[in-house]
Amino acid sequence: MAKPAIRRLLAGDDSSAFRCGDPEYDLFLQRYAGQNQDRLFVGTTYAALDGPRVVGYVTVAVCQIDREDIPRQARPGLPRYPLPVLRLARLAVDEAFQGRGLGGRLAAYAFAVALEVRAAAGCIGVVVDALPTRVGFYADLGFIELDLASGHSPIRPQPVAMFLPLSSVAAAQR
Amino acid sequence: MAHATQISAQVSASAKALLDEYSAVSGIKKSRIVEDALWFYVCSRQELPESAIVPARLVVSERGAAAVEQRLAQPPQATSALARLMRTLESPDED
Repeated sequence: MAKPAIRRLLAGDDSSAFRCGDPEYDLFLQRYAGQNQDRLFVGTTYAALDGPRVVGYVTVAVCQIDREDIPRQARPGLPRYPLPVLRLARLAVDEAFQGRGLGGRLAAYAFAVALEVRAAAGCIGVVVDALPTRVGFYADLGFIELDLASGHSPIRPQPVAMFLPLSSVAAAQR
Repeated sequence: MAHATQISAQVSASAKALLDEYSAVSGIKKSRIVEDALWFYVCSRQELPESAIVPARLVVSERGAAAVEQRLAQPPQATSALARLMRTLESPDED
């Protein structure tokens, strides 16, 4: 069977039958992903397509990591300027296509996009909002849990923010 | 404005300056700008709920900052799982 092709979501893509098992993720794709991308420019969604039908998606957004405002003398280490990252905010696969590795391909596609962003505009890493059940999957890829003071994902149940430097992704491609 | 009533609100000096300046330049009454802005705000939040917005700023704790710093200073080798995952992009034709 041909693998679903992955590319940027387009206005004519059919997401009406998309069902991933979480209605909130279905609703996001069907109602908000397009306007987030094409009207508000606050995130881009890459769709996996089986013909005209969307069977999986991953939504990414450019974000920044900053550290808590603490006294200057106690701030060695991380630079004081924000660090640009690509945030993998949502990833979902249609129930009929689950268990075929499509979620992994969508994640890999998002990591490849992050490498392009690094070359084009600067980006030091990837942050994923991992569902609690997927923390182990991302830990196996080398991600570490991020201890956030603010900027948590609004999704419920609350995902776990995890970080991987892009140099590790680049090394994996060599 | 039918059935108008009065409100009072504490806002930042910069917001007040923006309101004053926009009213002076556009000739629109401040009360009309505030009313329109409120309707725009409420309507846009209804159109795009909180859950659809990805926070653009991640503030890490001291512990989180130390972990990120350590990873950037000494990036881990790509795990075999990550290498396998990235290879899935190389053969896109068949399952």
